Amino acid sequence: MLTRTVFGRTFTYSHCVGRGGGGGSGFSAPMDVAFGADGAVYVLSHSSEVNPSSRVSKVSLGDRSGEEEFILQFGGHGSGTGEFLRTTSLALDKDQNVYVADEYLNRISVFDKLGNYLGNWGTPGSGEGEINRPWGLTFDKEDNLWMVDSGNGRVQVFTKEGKFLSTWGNEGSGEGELDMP
Amino acid sequence: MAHKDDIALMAHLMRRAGFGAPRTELEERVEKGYEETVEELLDPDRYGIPANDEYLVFRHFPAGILPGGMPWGGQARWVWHMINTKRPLQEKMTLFWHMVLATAESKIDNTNVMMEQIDLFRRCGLGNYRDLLLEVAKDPAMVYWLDNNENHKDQPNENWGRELLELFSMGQGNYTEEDVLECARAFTGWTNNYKLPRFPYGRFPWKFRYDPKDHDDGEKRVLGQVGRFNGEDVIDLVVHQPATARFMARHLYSFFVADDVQVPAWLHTPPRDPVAANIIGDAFTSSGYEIKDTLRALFNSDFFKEAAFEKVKNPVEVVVGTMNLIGDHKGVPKPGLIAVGFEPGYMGQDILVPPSVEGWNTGSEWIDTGALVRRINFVADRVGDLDMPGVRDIVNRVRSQGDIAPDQLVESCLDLMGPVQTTDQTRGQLLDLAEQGGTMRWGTKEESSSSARRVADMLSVIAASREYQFG
Repeated sequence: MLTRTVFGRTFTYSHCVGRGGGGGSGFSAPMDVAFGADGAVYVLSHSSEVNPSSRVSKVSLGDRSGEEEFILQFGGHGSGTGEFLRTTSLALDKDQNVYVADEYLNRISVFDKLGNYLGNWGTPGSGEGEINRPWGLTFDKEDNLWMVDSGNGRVQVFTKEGKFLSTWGNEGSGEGELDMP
Repeated sequence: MAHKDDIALMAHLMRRAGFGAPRTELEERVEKGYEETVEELLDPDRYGIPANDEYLVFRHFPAGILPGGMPWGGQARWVWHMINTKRPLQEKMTLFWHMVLATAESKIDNTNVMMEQIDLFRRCGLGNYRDLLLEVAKDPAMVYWLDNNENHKDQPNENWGRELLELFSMGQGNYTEEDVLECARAFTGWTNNYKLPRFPYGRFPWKFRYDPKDHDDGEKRVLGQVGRFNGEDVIDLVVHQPATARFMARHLYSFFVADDVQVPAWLHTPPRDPVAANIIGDAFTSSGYEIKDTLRALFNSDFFKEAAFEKVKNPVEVVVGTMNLIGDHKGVPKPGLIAVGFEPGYMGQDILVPPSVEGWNTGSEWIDTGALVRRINFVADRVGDLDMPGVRDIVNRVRSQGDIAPDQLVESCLDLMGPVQTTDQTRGQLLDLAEQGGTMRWGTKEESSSSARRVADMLSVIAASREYQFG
């Protein structure tokens, strides 16, 4: 049994879900995962131009190998609405809507839990509320979205609609500074 | 302002010792001086020139690090390195060794293992030739490529031993069949750990392994010497052969100075410039087989400085040189990188997939009907793109001259694309085109827009000239 203890918590290997693939239960250069309230797992594929299959896959894990199930997938490779060119991260709000960051298009695309496209927001730049290569995403208890604004070396906080709330962090390599977070 | 001849010489150096450079960099390097630039190219560590950050590729181009059997991921990664390196000679030597010590993914079927070999060339390519050969003899990709994992004490396989002598050091005509077999015996036991099957879990890293039980420790006769040689002893014997210095000098000459006949013809055809070949070979031998010292002698020689445009650019030089000229794909990997990695292959140089252990035929053999059209269209499309920062820089430099006559438009574009040397016939054809638009003016918004387009169009037409195929 494979186990690993990190910060006092022991993780035990259960089983593997997924394989290399451009659709269905296959993933292509997966970048991030998020757990839904219904127990489903959202997997974000980065993919490549040779096999362009950037997308979000929704799967159930099951309890053991062979029990996993593909539920649905959404998104796609491209620069149109609801599509991605360079996916980096995803996060779920309290309503189980899915927020996907695209570091090349500098935007956050929003979908509901069934994969229906709801909209996108994001303005490229380095000013307050502008973004440059969004990377990690997570929601806080107030359901505000925290974003690692990688290219600007900072973290920014937005409402779910993309309204800027606050920022912290400075770009640099000194103590307390952020270098391509 | 830098003298035009100094710019031309620096452009020549940077095309050969790198992949070309934009005008601003050429001007900076002319200020620094030719010999000082050579030193910086040879020894970037001493000058504090940083290496590329491979993490940038891993982070922004994760598909490129999958250990797949298709070479595109590795091609894109390597082309990105070539476009973005601040150590152009290191990357150029990596390409040189890939072309001499040619290994192909078509057999290796493991991109990461191939890329480890490329990184070996990057680390050791400017170092000592003896050390490089020894590393290559232990490189898992090379071991598998030339079947040394099938070279056993009781059943020698001569593939690696033969190519070590024929293609990697001395060349045909300088060894016997007995040398080949005895050389193979010396390398028995130089193998890989198990090459795990691809399925069901995909490709695994390979590691070199020396198996003393499978090594033939008996007496051998190699190149006239007798002893209980191991592989390392054979490499020492090989590098000390005068034929090796002649062979490597000819490779360095034909890669860096001027096109020579193809390698298989070297046995019967003297070097294009025997004096230059001797100078390079002497530097190689007297330095104790140090590539850096050998290249210092080469780049600072008169025969090198006088050899501008004596080579047909290889496809990698066409593609990476164009990217450097127009300033595209600089920095964080972006969409389109894989397509750029494919381009040399479309022109006949599928990097990571050489056609055989002999590598590619070079020089005029880079040019055939299909490859020529691809070369021209690739460059013409890109130098004609006014959205590219390098093209905008050229337009701004032309604009800074104010209103100019058609002949000045031709001269400026030829200068800023190279400088490119042309025949009178080509220059006349370019002038005919330029005269169709009359005097180039920048006064109004419409004139400025039209003139920028004319500059870009002129660059595209120059890219289609016969002369632009030479570097």
